[in-house]
Amino acid sequence: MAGIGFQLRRLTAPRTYSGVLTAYASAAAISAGPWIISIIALMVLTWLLHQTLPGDQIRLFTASVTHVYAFALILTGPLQIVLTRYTADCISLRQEDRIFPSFKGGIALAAILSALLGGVFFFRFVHASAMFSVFAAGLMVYVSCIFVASVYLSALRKYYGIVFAFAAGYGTGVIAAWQLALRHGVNGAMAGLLLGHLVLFVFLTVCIRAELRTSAGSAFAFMRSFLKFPDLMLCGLCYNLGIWIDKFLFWWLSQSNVRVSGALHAAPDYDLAIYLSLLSIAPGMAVFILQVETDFSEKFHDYFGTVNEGGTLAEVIAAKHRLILSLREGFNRLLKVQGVATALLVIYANELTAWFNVSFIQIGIFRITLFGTFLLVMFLAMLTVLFYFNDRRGALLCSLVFLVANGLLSAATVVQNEAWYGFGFVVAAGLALFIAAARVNSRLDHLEYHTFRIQPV
Amino acid sequence: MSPRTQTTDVCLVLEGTYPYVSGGVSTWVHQIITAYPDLTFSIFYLGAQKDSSARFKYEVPANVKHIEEVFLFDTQTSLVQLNRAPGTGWAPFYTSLRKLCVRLPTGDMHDLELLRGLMQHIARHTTMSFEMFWQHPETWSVIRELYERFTPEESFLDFYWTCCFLVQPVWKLARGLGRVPKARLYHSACTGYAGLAAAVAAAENDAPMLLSEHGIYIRERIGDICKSLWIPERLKLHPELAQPLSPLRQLWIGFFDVLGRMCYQRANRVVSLFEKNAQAQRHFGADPARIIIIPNGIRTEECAQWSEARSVRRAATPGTKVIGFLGRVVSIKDIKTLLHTARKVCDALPDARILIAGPAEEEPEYVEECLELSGQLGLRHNVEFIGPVQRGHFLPQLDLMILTSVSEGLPFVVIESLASGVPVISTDVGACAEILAGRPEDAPPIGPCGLVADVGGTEALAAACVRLLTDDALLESMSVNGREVAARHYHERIALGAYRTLYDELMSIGPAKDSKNDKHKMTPATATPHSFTAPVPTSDL
Repeated sequence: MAGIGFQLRRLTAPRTYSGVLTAYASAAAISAGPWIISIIALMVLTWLLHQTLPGDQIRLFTASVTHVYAFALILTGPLQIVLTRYTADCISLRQEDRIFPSFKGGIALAAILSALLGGVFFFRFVHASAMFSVFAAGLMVYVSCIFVASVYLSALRKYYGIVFAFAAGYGTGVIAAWQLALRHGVNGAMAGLLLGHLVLFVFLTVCIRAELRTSAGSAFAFMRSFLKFPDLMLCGLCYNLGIWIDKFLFWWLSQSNVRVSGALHAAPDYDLAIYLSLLSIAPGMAVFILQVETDFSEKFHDYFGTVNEGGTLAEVIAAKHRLILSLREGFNRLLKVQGVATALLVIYANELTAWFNVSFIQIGIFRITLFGTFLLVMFLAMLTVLFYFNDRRGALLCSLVFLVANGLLSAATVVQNEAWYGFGFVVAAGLALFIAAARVNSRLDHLEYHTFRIQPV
Repeated sequence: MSPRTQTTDVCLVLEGTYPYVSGGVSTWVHQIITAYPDLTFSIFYLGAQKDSSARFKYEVPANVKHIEEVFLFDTQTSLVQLNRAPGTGWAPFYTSLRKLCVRLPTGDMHDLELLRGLMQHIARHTTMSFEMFWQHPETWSVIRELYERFTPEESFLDFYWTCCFLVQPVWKLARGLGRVPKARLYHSACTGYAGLAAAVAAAENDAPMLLSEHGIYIRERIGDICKSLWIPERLKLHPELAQPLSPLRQLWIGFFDVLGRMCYQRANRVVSLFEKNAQAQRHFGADPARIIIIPNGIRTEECAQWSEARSVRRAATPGTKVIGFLGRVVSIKDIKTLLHTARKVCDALPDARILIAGPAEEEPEYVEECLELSGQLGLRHNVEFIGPVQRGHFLPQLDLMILTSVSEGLPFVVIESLASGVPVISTDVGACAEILAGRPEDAPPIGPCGLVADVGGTEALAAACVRLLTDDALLESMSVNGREVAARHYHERIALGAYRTLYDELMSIGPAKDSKNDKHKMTPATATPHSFTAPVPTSDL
């Protein structure tokens, strides 16, 4: 008979669609969590050291630690986000075996890069003793490794292990730094902090190994994800650089900046204000992540389940509406909790900051940056949602806007007087939030289109 | 003049047959090309997937000036996701697309013109890949509109993929339009994609179109669609409310129904092999006034010597009981029924032999199953699979020919057997009943030359075999009748003469607009108004 041996029977049933759910939510929380803990620990440590070290050594110490954290975050940002995506893909493909090797590979990569960067920076551009430089570079390696390890924490079920690891690590770090500083000065402080991070990293690795027992495949298989998702990598870079760019600008350009040692600068007015205000993201983030991990993730699974199990378009859209409602609820709670927290902090800023020995100027900057962090939390939440819906281009766009705006506006304010400080950050966060919210809205509007659009045949 | 721009007399539009696949249609195509060395031919071949190992099965004659190939189900691995918006030029495209899809195409000339416009647009805008088109938001909204209008209670996922599978081959075909050879006449061997290609090419070149159907394309597709498993059959909970076919299957069928109707509407003449198929064509939308019946034919005189050889052999070894089968060993020929029949024949006549001849490489798994079944039925000594054979060597060995197919047109093997004096027992498929009943209305009348049984009817088939093998007088009379029927009605010169007349007639009327079919003629009364609920043919067709 004439006719193509009709292919109908050979056409395989349509592929299923899946949302890459796992780990994204926690990615934001996890990167915020250690951040907050480390800021608190460092504040406590700085307060302790005030009694034992001379002022210029304390400044060297705090500026070095801040730079270590900044460099580590910027360096590992792209790596973290790509590893997050890689592990999420492994989980949805049911190839959990491939996760642990990627941990090893990620750690190795982060360690090599941070050792290089840290070594070059502290030996070439900072005038400090060789021992101090070694410890500082070592700290950078461990901090980077801890950031990479934090990617895998969301895959773990035993949270108490993580809590213990952080408590033990920072506890050891603070006490060891304090005690060693008594005997060996600033070198001892740095060595103590390094020891604490070592403890933290070892505990985290033990926790991860305890749950990810099996491993198969190459440690560097995840490197292909860099090529597959260059937009994700750039997004991680832009976001973390965006978070830090205003601080670098203030360190270098503000009228009150202090040259600590070589390329190490600090801007005490701005730094303390913004670190304090970054602490305020804790309550809002916690509430939002809770909503995402519980109610939203369930609705998210329901939505893709409806699509894959042959739901009608009306059912798919109904599932989408439930998803949107859950998301709206999450943002509502975030707004309420974070709004109240920010308002209280702004009102009682005087009373609170009296405690920290904060100057009048810093209180003004603190109030402004509190608004900035409020917007930043919302932006971070929106970014998380964009990752959920695989709008990588949108995520990259708003991170890039955040970076450019924060860079340009902070540069513009930093050359003005102190009254302008912090406004660049606020406006940049607001702009990024606006764009991210618009992307989320349009993504949700056309969610079913984007769901099916992935790849035909 | 390069071959591509050279205008040939006839462009044959062939889907999955000549020159790559052997079989009835290909035999016929080869016969026609060889018969008219004074005409020039070109071939527009539509295949499923490009297979670089595929070779021509025929020696293509020198009067075929040009062969073009398009593969409709080639899966491209391009993962390009350019989100480039189609230019403003695409607004009219989507308008036409909506007009065509959303207002229920009936397959009339108006629909064909709309579709042709769309295909021309696709052919012109080569920068837009199918993937880009398919992922475009405007396409999405058309899909949604269709879904909400026609199958709002079906799985959207299945609907979406069904649409994708339906549109993609048409898109590929449209992309190949520019490569259709220029010709004075477009001759398609089936409806479906080839029919669409011929209809569009004929309209483009203002040339007449001829359609020859050996089987009924739409009916074969309905068979495929009903057998396909992944289109889910829903509404199982309330069987009394269930429609016989799910809307998605109806969508598939409706699609091929519309293609078929467009093709029947555009064709200046529709050729059928025999009366029953002509009825089916009328049912699926062909204009009765345009249908002509031209049966297949062979050179019966070549078979005369085989007939003599057979008589000599039968006289030398009286009482042999050899039943033959000649054809590809494939599932459509239903060899398993043949084996069950053989078992029953051997129960009655233990010395019967059954020879199964023909190529076995097409469906190796099926061949394996048949060999196994033959063993299980204890037929090792009676049944032989002997592979490809020379007809002149094989036919004289036979006392009887058997054909157990589930679907046939007008099988060459039946005519060849009859012309060689071998009576035929066949299932009631295609033209077999018409041929084997003899021609009592002829002068002088010709009696029957074989027996017919229902498809899969092993009892009746076996009974027929036993009857003929035990009644020499009946067998002999059928042998004589068979030779007479073949010579009088199925001689090659009849078919080739009829086609020559058709070719000359169509090429002389030239551009289609001069013919009696107005291009823009609206729906004829015969077309079903609702394509998505196209009637499913019942078995009496």
